[in-house]
Amino acid sequence: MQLIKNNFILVLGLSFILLLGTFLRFYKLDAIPSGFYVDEAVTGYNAYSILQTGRDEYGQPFPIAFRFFGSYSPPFYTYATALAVKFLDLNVASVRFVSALSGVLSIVIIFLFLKSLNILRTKTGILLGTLLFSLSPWHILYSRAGYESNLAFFIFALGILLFWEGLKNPLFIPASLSILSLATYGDHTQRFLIPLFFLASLLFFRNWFFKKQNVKYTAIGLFLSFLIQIPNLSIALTPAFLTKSSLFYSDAILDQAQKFVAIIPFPIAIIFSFIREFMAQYMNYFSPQSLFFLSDPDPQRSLPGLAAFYPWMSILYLVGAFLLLKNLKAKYEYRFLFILAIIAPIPAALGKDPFSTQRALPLLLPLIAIMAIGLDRLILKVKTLWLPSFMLLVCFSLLQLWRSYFVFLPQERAQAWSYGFEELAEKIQEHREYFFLIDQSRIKPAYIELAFFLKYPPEKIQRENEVIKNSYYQNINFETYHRLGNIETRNINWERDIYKEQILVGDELAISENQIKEHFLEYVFEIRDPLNRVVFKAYRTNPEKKCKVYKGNSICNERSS
Amino acid sequence: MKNDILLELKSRVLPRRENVDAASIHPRIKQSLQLLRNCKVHGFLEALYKIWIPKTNFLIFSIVLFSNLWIWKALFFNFLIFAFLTLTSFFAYRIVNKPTKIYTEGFLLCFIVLSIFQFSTSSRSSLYKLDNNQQYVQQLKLQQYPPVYVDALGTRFWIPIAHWFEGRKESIIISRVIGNISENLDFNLYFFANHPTERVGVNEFEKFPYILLPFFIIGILSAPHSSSKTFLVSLLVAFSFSGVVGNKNTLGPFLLFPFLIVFITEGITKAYVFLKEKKLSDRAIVLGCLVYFIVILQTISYAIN
Repeated sequence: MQLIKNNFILVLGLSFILLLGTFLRFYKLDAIPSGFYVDEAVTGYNAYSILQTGRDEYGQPFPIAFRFFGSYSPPFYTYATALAVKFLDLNVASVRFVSALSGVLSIVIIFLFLKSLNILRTKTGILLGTLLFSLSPWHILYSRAGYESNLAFFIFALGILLFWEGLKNPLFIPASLSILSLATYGDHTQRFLIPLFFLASLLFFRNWFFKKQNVKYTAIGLFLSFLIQIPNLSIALTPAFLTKSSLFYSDAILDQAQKFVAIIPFPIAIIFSFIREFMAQYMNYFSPQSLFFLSDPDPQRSLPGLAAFYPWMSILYLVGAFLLLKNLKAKYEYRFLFILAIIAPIPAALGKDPFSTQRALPLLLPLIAIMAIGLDRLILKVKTLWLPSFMLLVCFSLLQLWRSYFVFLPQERAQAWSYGFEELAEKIQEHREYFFLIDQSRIKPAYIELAFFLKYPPEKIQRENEVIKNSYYQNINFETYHRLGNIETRNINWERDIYKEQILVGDELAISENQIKEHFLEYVFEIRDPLNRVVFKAYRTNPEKKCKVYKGNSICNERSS
Repeated sequence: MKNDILLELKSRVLPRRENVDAASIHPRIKQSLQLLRNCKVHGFLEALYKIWIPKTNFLIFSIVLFSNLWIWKALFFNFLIFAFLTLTSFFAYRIVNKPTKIYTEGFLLCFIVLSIFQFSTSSRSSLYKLDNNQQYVQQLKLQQYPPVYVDALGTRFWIPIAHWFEGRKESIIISRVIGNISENLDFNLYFFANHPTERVGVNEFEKFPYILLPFFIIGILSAPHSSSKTFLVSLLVAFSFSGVVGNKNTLGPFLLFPFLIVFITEGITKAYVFLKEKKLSDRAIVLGCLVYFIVILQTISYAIN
C-alpha cells in the first residue's frame, strides 16, 4: 500500500518526526536525567574555563585532547559546549544542549541516508525508518547526556552520508573524507573506527577510488584528511593518545590461554583465546537479546527496563538482517551497509564491557537501516494490517519510553548520574564560613562537580594545577585531592581531621554511628535522592570537646600552644 | 531329540553353504575382498571411503552432531534424552533434505517426546507469582509513577497506567515469557557459553565450538529448510515452549538442539560445495580440519576448567 504519494507528504511526515524527536530530546533537559554526571561536569567546567581564559582547568591553552581525569578526551564537544555556555550561561541545560541538538540534526541525516541508499521500496519505509531512529531509546539516552558521544555520532553519520553520495558523485568525496577525519576529534571510538572504515573502503571500493576520473578527488580527500589529523599526529606518540587501551581484555585472554596451554603451544593458545574472546564480544553487539531485551549492565548508560531498542523491533531486525545477507551479492548498496555494520562495533568489541552502548553508538546507523529494510518488506507483505499494527506499537513504545526514561530514570538512577552535588553546592554556600572536607573514598571526583555548580573561577583551579601543564600529554595519572577555596576533596583522615574545625561530608558509609559518638560529631545536614536514599551526610567536627577528652594528644597540644 | 531341534533351527537360520554362490555376494564386498587379496592397501582404503563412508553431507551431519559438548553432556545426564536428541536431529536433517511422510512423522514424534523431557527436567517457576523481593521492587516501582488522569466533560478520568505495567498478571506473564524467549535468541548462548553476558545463578556450559557460528549463519540464510513447513513451525513452537517453560535446566534449551544441528550442517555443506567449486585444495581442507580440532580442544579445556 503506498501511503506516501508525493514529496509534500514526505516533508510533512519528516517535520512531524523532527518535532517529536525535538520534544523527546529537549523536554526537561536540565532535570532529566536528574543529577549531573561527573563526565558532564568536567566537560561543562572545561568549556567554561576555555570561554573565560582560553585554557582548560590545568591551564593548557586550547588542548588537542582534554586531560579531564586522565582520559584525554577528544576536544570537539568541549569547544562546542563553550559556545553554548556563552549564550546560555553555565548550567546543566547548556552542557547538554549540543548533544540534544546533534540528536535532532541526526534525524535529518538518517532520513537523507535512508533515502540516498535507495534500498527501500516504499517512501513510507524511509519515513518510518526515520521514526524508528527518532524513538530509539539508545539515541535518546545519549542525546540527553552532556558529553561527546552523540556529537561524534552526528559527525560520523554525516561523513558516511556524504561518503555514500560520493560513490555516486565524486565531488562529495573530499568533503566526506574531511568530515570523517574530523570525527576523530569527536570521541575515542571514532579514533579507532575511522581508520578502520578508511581501510575497509579503500579495500572494497578500490576499483572505484582509483578510477582515472575519481583519483583526483580521492587524493584531495586524503590530503585534507591528513591535514586535519596533524594535531592528532602531534600527540600520537604521547601516553595521552591511547588512554583507552587499558580497556582491552588482555587479562582475560591470558587466563583463557592458561586453560589449554598444556595441549597447545602458548603463542597459538593466545591467538585462539583472543579470537574466541573477540568473537564473543563482537557477536554480542548483534545479539537480539542484547539489542532488544537486555539493558546495558552499566546503570549510567542504560534505561531501566529498556534495551537499546524496543522488543518488537527485533522482528524488523531479523527480517532486515536476513534480507541484507541474502542480497549481498546482488546489490551494491547492501554491500556498503554490510561493511558499515561489520566495522562499526569493532572498537567496542575490543573493550571489556559486555555491551557498551556508548562505544558502540556508531552501530546505530547501520542497525536502523537494517530495521528499515525489514519494515519496508513487511509493509509490502502485510499490506492492509501493517499501519494500525505499527501505530499501535509506536504508541506502546512511547508509553514504554515515558515509563522508563521520564518516570524511572530520574528516580532509580539518580545516584548513577551523580545526583546531589547541586544541592551540596547550595549547602556549602549557606555555610560558607565553614571549611568543608568531602570524602572521596567511594564517590566520583567531587571537586569538578562543585567547581561547576559554584562557578569557581577557572584561574584559581589553573594555579593549583600548574605542575601538570608542564607535561600535559605525558602526565596521565589523576589525583583525587583538590582544593577549591574552603573545600577540600580527599579521603577523611580520622587521626587528624577530627581535630580541625570543619564539616565532614561523605556518603552513607563514610561516617558511621560509632565514629559520630567517638569524635563528638554534630549533624549539620543530609541530602537525599528522589527515592529518599541518603546521598550525602554532613557532620561538623568538635575539636574542643575531642581535645578535652583526649588531652594527651599531640595535635591537641599543638592547638593549645 | 535336542540335537535334532538344534539341527533344524540351524538349517532354517543359517544359509546352507551349497546355496551360496559368487553371484549372491554384494558386488561392493566382492570388490573390497579382491583389492585386499591383491594387497592394494591404498586402493582398498579409497574403495572403503567410497563404499562404506556415507555421503559427504551425512558425514558432515554426523561430525556436527557428535563433535559438540552439548550432546555428550546430554549423554551423561540422561541416556534417553541423548537418544532422542540424536533421533530428532536425524529426522530434522532428513525432513529438510528429503521430506517424506515417514521422516516427518518420525520427527514430530521425537520432537513431542523431547518437549516432554524439556518440560519435566526444567525447574519451572510461576509466570505471574512474585516472591518477597519482587513484591518489594513492584511496590517501589508503583510508587514512582505520577498520577495520570484526563479531565473531560467536567470529570476526571484516572488512568491506571502504573497498574497496567506493573500490577496486572498479564503484564508480568508477558514480560517473563518474552524474557525467557529472548535468552534463547542469543548466539553467544550456543557458541560461547553465554559469554560475556553470563547469567547470575545459572551454570553456563560450553555447547558448540565457536568456529561453527559462521556456518550456522550461512545455514540460516541458505534456507532449504524453508521448504519444510513442519521444520519451521516446530522451530517456532520450540521457541514459544521455551518461553513458557523457562530456561532453568541443567541441559539448557535442548529442544532447540536439533534445529541448530540442521542449520550448522547446511551451512558447512553449502560452504564446502562453494569452496569445491572454487577448486579449494585438499591441503586447505586439512588445515580447516586442524583448526576445527584445535577449537574443539579449546572448547573442551574451557568446559573442564
